[in-house]
Amino acid sequence: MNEYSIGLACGIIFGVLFLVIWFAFRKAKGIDPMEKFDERQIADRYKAYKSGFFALLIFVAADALLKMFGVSLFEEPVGECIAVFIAVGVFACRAVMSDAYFAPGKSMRNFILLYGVICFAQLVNTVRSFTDHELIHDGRLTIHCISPLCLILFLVIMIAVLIRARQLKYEEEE
Amino acid sequence: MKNLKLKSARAAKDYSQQQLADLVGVSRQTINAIEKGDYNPTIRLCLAICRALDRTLDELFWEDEA
Repeated sequence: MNEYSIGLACGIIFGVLFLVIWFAFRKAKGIDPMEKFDERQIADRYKAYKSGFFALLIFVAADALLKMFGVSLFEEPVGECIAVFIAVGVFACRAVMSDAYFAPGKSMRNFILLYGVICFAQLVNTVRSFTDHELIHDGRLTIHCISPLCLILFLVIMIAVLIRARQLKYEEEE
Repeated sequence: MKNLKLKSARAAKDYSQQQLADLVGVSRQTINAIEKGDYNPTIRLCLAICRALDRTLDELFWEDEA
């Protein structure tokens, strides 16, 4: 077992533990663990899922086409990670802009604070990646790019939320 | 097509969009979308809105023929 595998296993265990504690806390407080979206939000979320799926398909097709011509831009797991990031990012941004990301009554402010903390943690990893590791090797993105790409994903989603929050603040009701 | 009947019925009850949304159990943006004509609600939501505003379906959601 190498350093990377140990780190990955620790991350997964920590993530699972965090989720278990989080849901147990919410259940003890009587907070419904399932968010309830209204019918319009459910319809818009389906559209967002579709957009994310097609974004994923386009990326996979483009990557396959490049590989046919002998051009490989990513090491093995990096391409798959980028595909997932693109799908998640497209879904999240579309859902945020159509007001289908947050269930009624959910606070955008708490989300922005949480994402700010996550972005900071990813920023630390990103700086380490830049200083300690090689991001590009033989013209291909290496696995050490995952942290910077993750940071970009979280930043894009957070920016979408901030833009939408600002639009809603100035939206005229009448 | 904008739903002006809904908007005026809501104003007659002195409800904001958020207040009506809370009564009906949807987001404020959903009520806004219905009033702007950007979203067609299901019959279930239409009935919930009618109950909250003490109006009938015809009064709020019937489209007059041109």
